Order: sequence, then C-alpha cells, then structure tokens
Amino acid sequence: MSIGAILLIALNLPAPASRALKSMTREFIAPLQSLGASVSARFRNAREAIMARGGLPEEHQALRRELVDLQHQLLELEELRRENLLLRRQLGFVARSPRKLIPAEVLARDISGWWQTIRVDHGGNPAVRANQAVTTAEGLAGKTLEVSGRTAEVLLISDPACRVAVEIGDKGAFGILSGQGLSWRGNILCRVELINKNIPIERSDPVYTSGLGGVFPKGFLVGYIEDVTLDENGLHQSATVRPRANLSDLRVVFIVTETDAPEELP
Amino acid sequence: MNRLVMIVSLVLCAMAQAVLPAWTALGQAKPPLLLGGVLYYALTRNNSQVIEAAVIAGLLHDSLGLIPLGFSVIAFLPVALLTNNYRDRVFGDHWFTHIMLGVASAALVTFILYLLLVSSGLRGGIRMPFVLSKAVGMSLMGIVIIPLVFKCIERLDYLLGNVELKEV
Repeated sequence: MSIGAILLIALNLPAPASRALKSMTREFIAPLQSLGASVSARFRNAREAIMARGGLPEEHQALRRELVDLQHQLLELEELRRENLLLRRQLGFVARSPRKLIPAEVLARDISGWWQTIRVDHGGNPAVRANQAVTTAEGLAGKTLEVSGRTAEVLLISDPACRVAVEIGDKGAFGILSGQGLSWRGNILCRVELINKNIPIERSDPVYTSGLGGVFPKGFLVGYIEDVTLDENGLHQSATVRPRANLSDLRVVFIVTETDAPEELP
Repeated sequence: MNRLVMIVSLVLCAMAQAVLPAWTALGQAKPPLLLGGVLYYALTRNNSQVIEAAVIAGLLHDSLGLIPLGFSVIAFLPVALLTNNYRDRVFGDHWFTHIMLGVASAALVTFILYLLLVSSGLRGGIRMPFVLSKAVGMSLMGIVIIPLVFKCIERLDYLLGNVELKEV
C-alpha cells in the first residue's frame, strides 16, 4: 500500500520537485562516481603510457613543434581579434559577451542506454546552467540539460532529440542538424536537413554552428559532410555529417558560458 | 543492517551500470546490474523487502538518467514480484536459474520501459528493430552479469553476517 503511494507520488511529482529529487541523488553519488572516474582514468593513462612507450620521444618532439605552431597562430589570432573589435566599435555594433569555457570531467554515461547522454562534474561552478553548449578540443559535443550543484547531464549531438542550427562551410548553406544515434558498428552520424538545394555541398565540407538557435554560439566546428542527398519532395538537400569530436570516448569536455562583462581590448 | 546493505549494493550496482559502456551493436544495451540486484533480493528475501529493493533500484535508475521518476519502478516491480512468487519452485541458488532469470527479466524490463517511454511521448522516434536488439543485448549481457551480481551481493551479505553462505 505504502509502496503504491510512493510510486503514485513519484509519478505525479511536479517537474521542479522531480528535478530536485533527481539532483539530490546525483549529488549524493557524484563523489563516489568522481572517485571511480579518476581511478579508471589512472588505469587508462597507465595502460596508454605502457602501450606508447616506444614512441614517446618522437611524440614529444612532434608536440613541441605543434606547440610552437600554435603559439604563432595564437599571436596572429589575437591581432585579428583586436582588429575585429576595433572595427565593430567603429561600426557601432553591440558589444559581444566573451565566452568562457568551464572544464568538466566526464563521470558516467546514460544508465539506461535510451538516451545519448553523459554526466559531467563541473565542480559546482555557478555559471553552469541548462541549455548551454558543450564542446571538446576537437568539436561540438552537445548541450547541458539538467544541472545540479556539482554535476550536469549533457545531451550529445548524436541523440535524435538534440537539434543544432548549423552552417556548412562558408557557402551560406544553413540547416538543422540532429543525431542519428549509433550504427551497429559504433559509428556516430548526424543528419543535416532543410539545406537549400541550389547550394552545392560536397563531401568533407566543414559544418559549424550557425548561432541561430540560441543555445549554440556561432562558429563551433561540428563535423564534416559524409554524403549529400536530395529530399524525396525535391525541395531541399539533406546531408550526413560525421562529428569531429569522438563522442564515444569523451573524458573531459568544456561547458560554454558567457560572462556578463562586455569584451574589451587586450 | 540488512536494509543498509541492500541500499549500498544497489547504489554500487547503479554506479557501475552508469560507468560501464553500452553495447552499441545491440541497441545501446547496458549491463543490467541494477536488475541483477533486484533479482537477487527477489530470490532471497520476503515480499516486502523485494518491493523495497525494486523501488530503490527503480528510483536510482531514473535519478541517474533522463527517464521520468517512477518509470523504472513500474518496470522492475512486476519482474521482482513474479520472481519472488515463484522462488520456491525454482533452484534459487543455482547459476542456471540466475542465467534464465537474467535473460527473461532483462528483455521484459526493456519492453516495459519502451512502452512507458513511447506512451509518454519521450522517445517517439525509436524503431522496433532498435528495441528488439536492445532486448537481445540486455538478455545476452544478463547471462554473464546477473550471476556475477548474485555472487557479489551474496558474498557481501555473508561478510556482514546477513546470511550464511550455502555450500554447493
């Protein structure tokens, strides 16, 4: 009888109460999961170090070269940013809020396998809220859904429920990207629909966020075009996209937040 | 003590289930560790403790994912109660029973959850082949996982003095 009552209450809880209860459970389990994640990361790192032992000096050299290249690129980008900001001011554009990336460690994946989600530990950062873009060093990963004190559920772009407004290369072709889940081989693919049929789209064209949906800021790399087809009604094109980020092996992600302070000249 | 061990075992099962990877080739099936915990209590405890285990496991399952609170309780309860009802007619401590129970209940829980998610409009786009492959994946994993979960919780119960270990 009492169990029936508990079940009825649980099923009919208002959304905020249900979220609070879920959040409480996640907070309770988060430290244990964090411990588990760090232990498993240590094992994985140790294994990778052993496997790659032979090639470490070469890898070190390559990374040093890459670092020098990136430092040069950074200097150039800083100069361009300064120039861009000056021009925007001269044209009287509204000042943009600078983005801030909050690193978050991946604690777990969806427990049921019905969704494509991950749970991340954002360390209790108050700037993290629902519906913020989540990215990796390689490309866009998803968006935050339910945020509790220390953890956040992230819906990956591979989930059919995640929709992203995208732009293909610099061709002026826009569309809506949604996840297609995983194939039986484990490949993650997404699909962009409603692309203007008169714009030629080619394989390997980069796909970026267009910033039109409101959740994902403009300019984040999502992936590359795999193939393009004309819709059945012949009005639009659709394209398959391979995400750039390795969504099946995420360890650290970055939650994109915006600061209140306007962007200033360095 | 008994209840505390139950909660701790189910929390550990939930944590491990969340961390372990899904079987992508078979409908993103996850290892049914929580279900294993529920089935262990269904075979070894009385009716009220079985219901408690199913409710705790269900709420944990829903809290650590996007499934609405209470759905997994609806999926776990009938499986747990059916198992508990027939526990005197099966060899409750035999690995073959655990395997068969794992296969049947993993598939049943998958279908119940699918029906609940579709009827609530949360996963409307899911195709039946995906659900079938998920059920097969869960059942196959149940063959290995559920006897393992039984052994682990049984050992924990024994170490804490809740049960006496049976000689097989």
